Amino acid sequence: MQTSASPLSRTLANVFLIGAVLVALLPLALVALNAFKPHTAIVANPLSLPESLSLDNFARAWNGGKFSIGIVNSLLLSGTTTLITLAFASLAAFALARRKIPGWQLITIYFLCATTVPIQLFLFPLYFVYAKLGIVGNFAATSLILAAINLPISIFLLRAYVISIPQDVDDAAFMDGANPLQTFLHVILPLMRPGLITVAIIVFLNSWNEFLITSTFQKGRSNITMTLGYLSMNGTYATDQGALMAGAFILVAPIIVFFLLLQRFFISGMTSGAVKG
Amino acid sequence: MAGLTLRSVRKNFGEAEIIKSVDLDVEHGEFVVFVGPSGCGKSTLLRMLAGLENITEGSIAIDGRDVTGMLPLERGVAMVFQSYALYPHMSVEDNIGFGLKIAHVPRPERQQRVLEAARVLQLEPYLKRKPKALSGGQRQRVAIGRAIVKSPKIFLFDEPLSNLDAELRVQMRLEIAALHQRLGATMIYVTHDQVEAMTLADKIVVLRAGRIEQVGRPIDLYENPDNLFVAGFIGSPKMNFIAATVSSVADGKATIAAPTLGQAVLTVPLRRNTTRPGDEVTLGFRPEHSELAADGGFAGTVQVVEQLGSVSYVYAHAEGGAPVTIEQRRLSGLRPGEALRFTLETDRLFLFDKAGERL
Repeated sequence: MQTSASPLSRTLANVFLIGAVLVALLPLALVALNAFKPHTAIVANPLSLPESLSLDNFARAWNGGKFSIGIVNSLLLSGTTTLITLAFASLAAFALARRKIPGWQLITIYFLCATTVPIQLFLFPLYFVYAKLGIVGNFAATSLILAAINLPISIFLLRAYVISIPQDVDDAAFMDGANPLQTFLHVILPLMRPGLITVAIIVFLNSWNEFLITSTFQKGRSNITMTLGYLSMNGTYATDQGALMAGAFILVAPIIVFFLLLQRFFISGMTSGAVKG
Repeated sequence: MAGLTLRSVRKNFGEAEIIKSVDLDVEHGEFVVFVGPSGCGKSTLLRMLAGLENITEGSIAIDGRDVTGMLPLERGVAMVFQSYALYPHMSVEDNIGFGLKIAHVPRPERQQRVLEAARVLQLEPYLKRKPKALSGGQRQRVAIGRAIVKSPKIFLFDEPLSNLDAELRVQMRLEIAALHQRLGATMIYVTHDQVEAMTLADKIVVLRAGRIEQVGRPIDLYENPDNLFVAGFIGSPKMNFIAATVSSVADGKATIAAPTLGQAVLTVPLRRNTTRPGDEVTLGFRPEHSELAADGGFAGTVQVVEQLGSVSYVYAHAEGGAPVTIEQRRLSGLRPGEALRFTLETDRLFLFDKAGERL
């Protein structure tokens, strides 16, 4: 790609970007580094290199944080949340971007307001209802709450995405005899893919790291997520920094893998070729 | 039986009246072109025929069957969009076959019909490609293929060539004309390009501000416009319009004075006998119906000369000050600032009343 920027400003931009990358990656590198060191070595010098690549810390952390239970629950919870959010947000985004809905401004304002209300307000009534229904600790039920929290922002993101798809494409589908649902499934949804992936990453990350809702609703030893498991390590492993570092590493590793897997699908120009461009 | 009939068709967008009571008959197999300036409602009218816009009032019938309010497929219409509107994630094959897939046409038949359409449009080598790997002309052909495969009664084209470069436009214009002959289907074509209109149309519909100004064969509109608007819109360069006053009327002819043109008086044939001496009128004549002359006629001064090779257009100011365009065969020897004299073919002059209606 041709850029018109001068060499100096490009160098400055690069320096800034490298700095930003370092700021983001250094703590992570530090965690990775110390995950291989015993407690005493960490306390002595957190910046020293590990003497051996021993996986002892990881083994202790895996058992101590009950990650074998946590990872299943976290994957189920985050995966379900992501699926529910994508399903509803894409449909709502399509409707809000394309259909002439009376009072759509009100709906939009409602969603906007929803993003500003603190979740703590809903916590007690929700817990009360869930307890009555006996679904406290059920990952699918909890993911419904997490999806609801993520929906407004997802709908806004996806709505903007649908708007960027030319209306003529919908009209063409209509002329081809497609009903709105067919237009959505066969034409709009495939074209929304980059938007869907963006939202999937955001929502998955949010629910993976989520603490307040999960700690309230995922009660019981068999229902804990990785985040909750890691929290439970805090007390017992306060004197074992090595295990805590390894636990943190185990906690963030899946999300990094998930991101790296999906980032390949960030394809720009998905709609190129639809209309004269 | 008429292929397409519009009766008192109206369209309002909120308060604004976009289409004001349109009546139109299109014969089966006719190539009809809607022309008009931007915002005249020609595209809206086409979208109403397609079923993409509902109509506020009136009725649309195809082959004698009232289709008002029906879906496009039930109407038997297919549309080619200005932007092509291809599905970017589908191959050419799937783009053309999408309508059939939605209609649950079995795969073997679907493939056969797609192949048939691709053959007509010479798209066979590109069937597996995505739209982004096609040139503008090829994309346009895919868009047409998507219409053909549905075997519609009526094809609707919404400015299909306006996104193409000049050379390709001429080529696609010929292809569309050939397609019309081959399929024999009724085609409705919206454009603002009057060359497309004149060359493609069996019948031109001139629209202005949501109203039909005139309907007729291209040559009729050219030689016999009903009003000032049609006279000015059809033909390039534009018809010359000169303010004039009627001095006398006799034997179906009016004698007029046009001081902005010059001193000489002109006798103009009339279509209707409603004009009176003293009426203020507009005189119209086409650039090719004026001729440079050694003497007589009107005097003027050359402003600009456009040499097109086969003809030249001389833009001059008449002695009375009116700007006129005069066509000259082949190259012109005139230079800006030079004096000239020109005469008019008196049986090719038009008069329009104050309301712009032909006299």
